[in-house]
Amino acid sequence: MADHEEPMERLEEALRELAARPPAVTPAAAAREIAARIEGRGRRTPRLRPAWAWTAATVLVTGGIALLLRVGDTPPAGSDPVAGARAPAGAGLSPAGTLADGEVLIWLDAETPLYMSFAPPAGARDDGGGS
Amino acid sequence: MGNQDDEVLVRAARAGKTEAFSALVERHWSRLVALARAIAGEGEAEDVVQDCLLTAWRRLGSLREPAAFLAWMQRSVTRASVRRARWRALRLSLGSVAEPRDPRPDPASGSILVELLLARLAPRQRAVMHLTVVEEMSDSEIGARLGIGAASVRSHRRRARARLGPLLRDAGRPAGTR
Repeated sequence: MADHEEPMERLEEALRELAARPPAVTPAAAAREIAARIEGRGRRTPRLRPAWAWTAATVLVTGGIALLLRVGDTPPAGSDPVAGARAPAGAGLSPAGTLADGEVLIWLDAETPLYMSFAPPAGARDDGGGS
Repeated sequence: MGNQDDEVLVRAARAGKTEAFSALVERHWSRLVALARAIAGEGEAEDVVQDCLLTAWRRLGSLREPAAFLAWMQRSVTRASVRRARWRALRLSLGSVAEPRDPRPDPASGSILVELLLARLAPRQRAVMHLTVVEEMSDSEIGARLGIGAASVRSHRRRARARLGPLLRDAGRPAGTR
C-alpha cells in the first residue's frame, strides 16, 4: 500500500467514528424538546404563503415604484428649477410666479400638488449662516 | 422503505400532527447532528440542527417531495452549519484567538484527533469530507446538498486531502523527527 494511503484511511475511519458518536441530546429528548417548542408557538400547520399575500406585496411594490418615478421626474429644460416640476396639463395651479425663494412644488398627479418650503435655521437668518 | 415512512410522516405533519413531526425528528436526529458536528463542531451542532428542524416545521408546505425529507434536511443542515462555522471563524479572528492546537496525532496513543484536523479545513471542505466518507454520497449528491457543482465538490475534496496529507503523514513519526 502506498505511503499516503494509510493515513488517509485512518482519517476516514476516524471520521466514521466521530459520526457514530451519539449526540449529547438523545433523539427522543430532541423530539420532545422540538415538539414543545412547536406547541409553544401555537399548533399552526405549516402552509405555503397564501396567494393574496403575494398579490398585496406585488401591488405595494408596483405602486411604490410608480410613485418614485413620478416624484423623481425631472423638470424639462428651461422650466423653473425651484418649482421642481411643471403643473400637468389641465391642472388649476401654475407654479410660475406663485413660489417664493426656498419653496418647491411637485405635482404627484394632475390634482395633487406637494408644496415644500425650505428655510435656514433660526440662528443663521440674520447673518446668512456665516460666523 | 425509510423514505416511504418519511413520506407518510411528512404528510401527517403537514396536516398539523406534531407527533408525526416528532417521529421524523427522532428518526433523523443523530444523523443530522453528526453532519452538523463535522462541519460546525461539537459545540454548535445540536443547536444548528434544532434551528433547522424548527424552520423545517414552518416550511414543510414548501417540500415538493415528502419522501425526500432527509435530503431536504441534510441540505438545510449542511448550509446552516457552513454559515455557523464561517461566522464562528470570523468571531475568532476578530477576537485574535490563538491558532487551534496542533492537530497532529499523539504518537503515544496512535489516535487521530479528527476534530482538530477538521478545524484546519474550510467549512465546505469539512462538509465534503463528511458527506463523502460517512454518507458515501456521489459528487452530484454532495453538490446538491451544498448548492455547488460536482466539479467544485471534487476540488474541495482534493484541497482538503492536500491540506490534511502532511499532518497525517506526521502521525507515525516520533515526536523528535517532526
